[in-house]
Amino acid sequence: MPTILVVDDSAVDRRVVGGLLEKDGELQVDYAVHGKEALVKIERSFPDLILTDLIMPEMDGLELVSTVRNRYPAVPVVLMTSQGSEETAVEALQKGAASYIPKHALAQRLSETLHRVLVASRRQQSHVKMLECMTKNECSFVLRNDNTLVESMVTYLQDCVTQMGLCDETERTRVGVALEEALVNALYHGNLEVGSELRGENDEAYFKLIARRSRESPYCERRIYVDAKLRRDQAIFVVRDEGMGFDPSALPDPNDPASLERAHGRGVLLMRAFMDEVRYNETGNQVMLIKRRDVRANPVLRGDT
Amino acid sequence: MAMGRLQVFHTETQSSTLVVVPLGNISSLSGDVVQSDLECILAEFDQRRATSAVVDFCHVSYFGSVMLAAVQMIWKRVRSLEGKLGLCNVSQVGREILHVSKFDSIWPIYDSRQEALEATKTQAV
Repeated sequence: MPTILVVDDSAVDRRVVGGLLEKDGELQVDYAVHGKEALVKIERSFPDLILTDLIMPEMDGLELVSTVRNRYPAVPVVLMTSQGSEETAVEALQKGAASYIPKHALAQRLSETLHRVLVASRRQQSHVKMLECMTKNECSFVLRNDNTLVESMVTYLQDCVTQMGLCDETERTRVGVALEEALVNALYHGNLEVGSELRGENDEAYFKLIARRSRESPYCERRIYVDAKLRRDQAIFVVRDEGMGFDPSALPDPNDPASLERAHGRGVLLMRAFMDEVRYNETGNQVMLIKRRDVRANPVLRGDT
Repeated sequence: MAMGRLQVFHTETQSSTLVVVPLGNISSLSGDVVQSDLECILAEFDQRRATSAVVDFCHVSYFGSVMLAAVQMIWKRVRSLEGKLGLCNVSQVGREILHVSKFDSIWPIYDSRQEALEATKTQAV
């Protein structure tokens, strides 16, 4: 039977909610009077769902949502909102709460909402469990010179890295930064042949050249090729453009204070800082980025236990 | 008060400091939009008689070279006005990016907007 942890500082509200859940007959109920006590209870025994008030002493519902999303992302949180707490409820939903029920509508909507969220949560957990069994993932993309695709491409590849259990949240972000730089370089400096030297010297000309070449042959016909090969111990990303390439060894020394004034070479610097290995091909139009499993964050390879 | 023309940044003025808030990662935006926003921001220094700037990264968890180049433009304008630039609410990875690119040696990073405003106000020429 699924366990619901009800978090509310009002004894009366706890009793009302408890009564409704008991009437449901298919849910087990536990209680906490504020967020801090809820976290202690979650640590002791994972509930299947948390139903929380927003305004409470010690730790309020908003902070509880954030903490649960970070520490126990598989546990859904449903909010109970009162009149006047709408803005906080919106913030809590943005922070990852699964749903909300106005307190005045508990009798009509509580049971149905909780069952709906529980079904979605079970489906999600099963999906995550299935992805944890993945041992190899390979994919390839051919992208147009469209910078609106960069963010989606990066997010997709970040998700692949996360699903393979290669790194924690911080490393995932670092991987995202490096991939973004590789894609932006391939697009602007590779396919469109717009040098970053222009940036900072004449920004207007820089943006105008990008806009013009995005429509002009041969630049606009060029594509960006992205290959990703993920295993449980490492991810290899290859980003290739159809431009003229460049000589990575000719990039300015990042330790030179004058580099701060120039935009040149900053992307490569970030790629090298956030990936374990960065290799260019001879012509400089293809970069290979390697991220190895973060042993400190994920000491055990999935499937090894 | 915001000027209402910006799409990817929000701005407000506190005394002689222009507060610039990136509303998201700008790498996926068209160059036209970024350029237009940056031009507006640079113009606001004159319109609002601002000499210093605070870039508040409260809505951005990370950024790349495109954002660094944008902040660099603001920095150059502030420097020409003999004002100061401060950054605030920078995430852990954001701080690493600034460190790797060495910008943390010239752009002071503050924990909160209030601290950044205090610092740019008191340091402003």
